[in-house]
Amino acid sequence: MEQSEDKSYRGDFPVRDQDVQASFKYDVASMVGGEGLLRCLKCGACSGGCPVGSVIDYRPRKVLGNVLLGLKDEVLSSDQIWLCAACFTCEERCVQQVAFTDVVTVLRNMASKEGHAAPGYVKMAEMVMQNGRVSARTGVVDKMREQLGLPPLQDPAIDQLRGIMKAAGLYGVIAANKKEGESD
Amino acid sequence: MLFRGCITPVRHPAYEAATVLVLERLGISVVPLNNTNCCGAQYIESLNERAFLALGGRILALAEQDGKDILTLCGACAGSLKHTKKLLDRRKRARSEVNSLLGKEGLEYTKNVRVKHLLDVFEEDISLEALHAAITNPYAGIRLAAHYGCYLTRPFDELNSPAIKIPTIMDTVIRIAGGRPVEYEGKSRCCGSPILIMDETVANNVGLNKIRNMREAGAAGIVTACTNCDIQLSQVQYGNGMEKSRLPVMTLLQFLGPAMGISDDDLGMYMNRTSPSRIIESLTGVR
Repeated sequence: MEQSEDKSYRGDFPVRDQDVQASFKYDVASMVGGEGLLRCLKCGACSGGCPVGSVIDYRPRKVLGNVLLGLKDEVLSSDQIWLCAACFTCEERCVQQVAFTDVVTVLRNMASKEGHAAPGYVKMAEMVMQNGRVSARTGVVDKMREQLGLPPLQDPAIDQLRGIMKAAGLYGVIAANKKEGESD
Repeated sequence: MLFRGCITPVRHPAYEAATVLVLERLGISVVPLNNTNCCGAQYIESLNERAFLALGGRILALAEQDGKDILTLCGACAGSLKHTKKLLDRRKRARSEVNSLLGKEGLEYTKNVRVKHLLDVFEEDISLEALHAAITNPYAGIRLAAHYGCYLTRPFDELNSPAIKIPTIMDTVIRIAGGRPVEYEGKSRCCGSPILIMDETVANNVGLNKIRNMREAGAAGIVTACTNCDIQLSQVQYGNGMEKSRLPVMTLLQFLGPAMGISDDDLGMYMNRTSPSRIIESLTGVR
């Protein structure tokens, strides 16, 4: 796992006052899915069962700790919120019902609004917008379906899908993240 | 009501075919849910939850129109539609927001649909006796590792039965078909597939750890119940010097099919990335 120095989720200690935004945790907790955050005891049961943490130094407790501390910029601009596999193991083990996975979704939505979405995620969202699905249709697929006696691939309702995405504001989010990419 | 999702029909049509054939034998008719969109799991959800809820809401509303339950084959679709349903059912504001987006098409979601993953159907709608009766050519005790995946069993709230903390349904089905389910370390652990987009090495290591644990427990093959898991546990076994020790991977329904006398070709066995022969050859009867 390569991580650039300025984006390391381990961060640098000591934490400086100017990096702390005390209201951050309340902003997160006020969102749908973020409610459990303030109950976190930082016991670490989440980190102990994390499958990503079993192969790299990834710790959900550290992410929660950073949010509770108010390290908004560090949390929203680094990879730490995008490495979660959303497998819910931590959620199952959490004695405080923090729902880390849902907190991560809130944080990802916040980061995306600010143009910090992980490039891979933006690419996949664009793929869905373009093809109506996360994997493209090919001639081979059509042939395989025919061999299996399956009906031809259905139309992915692309117009409805795009309409919903546009009205919900996804186009704006993607644009915000593309701009960020170009200036890098 | 089969919601095919967006990955299964393209990347794993054999899973779709096997589902229709096997469920038919078990007395469940599968009707395709048409005109649907991608459920938005993971990617759209992470970028804009509002769009995600509306995409899921549209699928729920379409099934509601037809008055049938939703059946999903993919764990991600099951998880995301159950999650969407939970949020929309609980929150009036989110629901009316979604409905205002769906209104342009004349659709409305009114909380009256159930979302079931394939394993829920085995758990709730198929009796073990009926399954027993359908097995005409059982396996001769081949040792198999069941991989449940994440969204099928977690989180343990009202989305999934709270009584089933440690899922056993796949093991039960394997046993009824004549296989021997093995217990292995990290059985409920993730396959690593969702992390592929961020870091392939990490994702593959998560998957390979899982396979190592299965092998150590003596498994001769892997049985899955999710499109993403199936693809992931197959692909991680390539390019890692595992040529001689690859474990065959197949979905639960592809595993059941031959034991019910359904032909390998109809089940798309030849489309599997890993060779299914070690599993199929362990059937007791003459084929």
